[in-house]
Amino acid sequence: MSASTKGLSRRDFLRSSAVASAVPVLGQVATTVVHAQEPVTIRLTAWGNPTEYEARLATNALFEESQDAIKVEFIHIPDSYSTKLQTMLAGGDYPDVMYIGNGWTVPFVSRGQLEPLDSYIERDMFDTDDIFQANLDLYQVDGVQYGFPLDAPNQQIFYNVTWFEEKGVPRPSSDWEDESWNWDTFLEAALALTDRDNNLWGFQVKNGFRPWWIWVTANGGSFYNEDFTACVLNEPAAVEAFEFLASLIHEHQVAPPIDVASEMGAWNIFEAGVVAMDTFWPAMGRMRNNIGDKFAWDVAPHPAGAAGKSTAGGGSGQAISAFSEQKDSAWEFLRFMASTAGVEVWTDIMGIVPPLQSVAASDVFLKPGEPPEHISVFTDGAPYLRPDPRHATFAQASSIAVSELDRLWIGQAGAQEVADSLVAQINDLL
Amino acid sequence: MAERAARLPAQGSDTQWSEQAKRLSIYVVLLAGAVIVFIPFAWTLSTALKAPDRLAEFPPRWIPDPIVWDNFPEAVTIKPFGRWFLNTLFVVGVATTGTIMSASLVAYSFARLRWPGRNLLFLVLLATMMLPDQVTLIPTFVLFRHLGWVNTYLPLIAPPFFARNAFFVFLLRQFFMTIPLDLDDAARMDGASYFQIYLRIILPMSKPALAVAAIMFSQFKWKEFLAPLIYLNKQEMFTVSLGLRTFIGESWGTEWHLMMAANIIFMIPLILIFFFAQKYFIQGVVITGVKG
Amino acid sequence: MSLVSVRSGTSRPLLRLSLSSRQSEALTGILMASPWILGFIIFIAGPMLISLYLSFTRWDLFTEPRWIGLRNFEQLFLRDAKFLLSLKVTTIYAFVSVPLQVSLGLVLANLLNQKIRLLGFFRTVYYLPSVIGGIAVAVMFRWIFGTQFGLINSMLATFGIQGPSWLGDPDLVLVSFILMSMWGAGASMLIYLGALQGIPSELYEAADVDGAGNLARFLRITVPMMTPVIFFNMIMGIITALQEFVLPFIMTRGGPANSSTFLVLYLYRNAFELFKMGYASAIAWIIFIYIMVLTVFIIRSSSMWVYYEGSLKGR
Repeated sequence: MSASTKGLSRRDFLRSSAVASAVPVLGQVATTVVHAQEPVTIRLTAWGNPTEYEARLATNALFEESQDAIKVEFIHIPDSYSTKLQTMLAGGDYPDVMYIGNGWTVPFVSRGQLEPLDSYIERDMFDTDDIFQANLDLYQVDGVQYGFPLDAPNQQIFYNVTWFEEKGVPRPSSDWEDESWNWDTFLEAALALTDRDNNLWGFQVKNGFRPWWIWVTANGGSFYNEDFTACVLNEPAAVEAFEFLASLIHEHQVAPPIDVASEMGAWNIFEAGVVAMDTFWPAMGRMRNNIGDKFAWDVAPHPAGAAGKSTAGGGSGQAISAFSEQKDSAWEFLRFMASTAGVEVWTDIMGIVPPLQSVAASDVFLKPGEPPEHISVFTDGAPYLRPDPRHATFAQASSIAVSELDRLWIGQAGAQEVADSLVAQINDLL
Repeated sequence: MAERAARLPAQGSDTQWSEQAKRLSIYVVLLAGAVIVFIPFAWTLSTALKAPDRLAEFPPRWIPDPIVWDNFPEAVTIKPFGRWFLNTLFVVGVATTGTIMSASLVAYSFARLRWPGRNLLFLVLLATMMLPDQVTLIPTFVLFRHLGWVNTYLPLIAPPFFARNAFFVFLLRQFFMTIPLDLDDAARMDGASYFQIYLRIILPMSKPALAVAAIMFSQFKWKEFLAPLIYLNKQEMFTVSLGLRTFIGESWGTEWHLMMAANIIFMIPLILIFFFAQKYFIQGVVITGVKG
Repeated sequence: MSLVSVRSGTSRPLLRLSLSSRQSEALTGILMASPWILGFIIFIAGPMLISLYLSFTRWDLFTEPRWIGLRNFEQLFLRDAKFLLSLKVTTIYAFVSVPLQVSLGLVLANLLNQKIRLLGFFRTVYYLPSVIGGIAVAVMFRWIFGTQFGLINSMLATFGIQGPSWLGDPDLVLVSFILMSMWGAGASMLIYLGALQGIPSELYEAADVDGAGNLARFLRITVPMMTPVIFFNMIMGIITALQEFVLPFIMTRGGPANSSTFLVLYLYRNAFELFKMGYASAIAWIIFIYIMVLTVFIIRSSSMWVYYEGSLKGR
């Protein structure tokens, strides 16, 4: 594990510099906050695989080192996060700080679970300018801020450079404005890359919401109409996108059957060199570890459709429980995690796209010399992000859409038929 | 039954031959079935020894190349696995003891004693298994929170002492009902109390059943996920089944090789328990020597 | 055993014993059942009643539940096609897989109750799937039944057969789940094995005297003597099959096109993904009533086919 030892030394360096930079900030805080002799303990709920758990330990330790008034009790929820968190909240056992997916902002705020942050931001003159606006907005409801992002992931095409070179296929452009990388050239590339006899595929179509949402929006489609009175996934722009994706599986056969992705996890299939291009969110740490030098890989935007290029994503953030009894301390933790010091350590260990523009421009994120070469695709793509639609019915509506589209992916029904049927069901909710 | 099978061949060479053919066919059937049943485990083992980039090979390889033994140490050192293991032993040990004590006592009452409301309560007992856990999760959590039991092992180990798992009461009741009643009557005549009958007659005669119940309960508890998830907050207090879920990253993709390696380590104690406990089922033959 | 001498050694007046014993038996019975009765009152009854109440409300977990009478049930039965589909899917799964599991377990237990070599080994192997169970088995099966990298299909491929999409085809996915459930037959096998030890050998000896063949012995002695545990395995099979959750949750997430949306999976979605706990509670109580009706039916019918050596009926 040479990669991790290398990471460690840098991490130690980051940690010590972070403590140094965090001290002055928290110095003023200590005077304004409680002058308690006994440190208070805030409770933090978070999920986390081994990497994310390690990142949590590191940032928690860093936060505790940076001041001595607040300790963090980390409630690690390794799986079924929503089941446990919602049980705790419904049962009146409130954590102070919660790690949440951005999609939970609306349902949680509408049920009075999150503390508005505006007064804290104002009081401490906390500067949010460095945070990517699109990601900051994900934690806003009606102009009120309820949380801060911990990452700014968007989904891009990961591709196997070695494979492209072997087949003599030109690499996709990493320039967001270059529309020579469009659906036609994408299909050409996929056809040239596919070798069905040897089970090698140009692309992988997935049934999750975001992987097809990118294509729908690139073609100018939307989910709801403007006043949220109807679902419009059966209009030509969306239907064309569905048709195109389905044709990759059935007509052109450049993508394996839809269930292959869920069989072992799409990640493993890409890492094993079975598909040449695939849609992923940026968990670069994992990719670097698992692919090693087996092949070269890089990232590029999805090809431009009728309405140009597009990306989907959201990520996760942190918020304070409306029922926390230690909101000031929770706020200190929240702003620490949104500070350069916290974000640098988080980015370094997790290998994600940081929510701060300054960190995204630094070597902590760019990691020169390590793949992907065009890592700036993620940050340059910020203006192209089409976040998940925000409406009270979205969770249910997207699950209806995803399961109805199964019939298209397995070739049981045509795109228009499926779209009409899912629209009818979703309109019933509205 | 087995003793009789051994006696039969003495009857003649024809029957001996057919007896042997039958025996052979039994082995063939058992072996074929065993292979089918065993394939998933062979595959688990094979996966546990693979490098992460070799997981999705086609056609699949049974013998990984290279063989990565390091997955095993990596899977268990990645977290306080040893600590989780001890926690699990503690929880399983205490809870199994509690369940066997309480469930056998309650089952005895349901199986062999007559009291008003018994049949109705038995249906209530069965009914406790018929409602999906998901909808009682929150009220139960509120209850334990008011008792101050959250973040302790009590929600995992106290209810078993109250026969919380109706499955085992039901199971033991069914076994107890197969024991002839004459034995109880005889003991009653001799002035034995019901409790003495339970202790001196029913329990000793039910060793196979108790072994079955103990095996099944300890495995249920070993694998239990929902209650540890909800009630244990501190990572040092986790059980293995909860801690292992760390490997299933929903958005990151699962680290299959590590997860499978951890799974194998997770399973070994269960397999050992079963292997040693199954001997009790052979001893059962001795009990049937009871004659009036 | 010394029971024979116990019986002959009795010297008490029989009449007095039987008079007082009726009351003392009832008292002892309640006392001995009291751990469960207490546990039921403390841990179980409250949460169950609360969920019953919630099934008549609209509750989003966080704000006050709102009483809406039977609206959840109306919605489910009259307007929720997905619920009706999940009811159908779960019913088919339970009615096919339970009888198969019960009988496969019985056959296995009998095969493994003989004096053969490697008995412990065979028993352990057949029980293995139940040892692992839950999520680990589900994860393994996702591979085994995979279309592309799956074990079954790559074995078929070596014979030049292109295997179907076991989990990706709405018409096949339930068949795959039923096949998987057969792996769990080891658990019922274990219970049968335990019960087989309790069959008095003199019954078989008597049958030998009558010259009964193996099949006749199995049908006339083993099966009747096993009916109490067959009864058990049937009821437990129904209780668990109608509440199946892990297999579809891990392997298909209910897909494709909802064809493997089992009742509890649908319940879980409503409760924890869509914040509709009142609706989920209504589904739970429908499952409850469904299982209860089937259980009462089996119990009612049991007097016709279940034979208890220790039955209290004759007393």
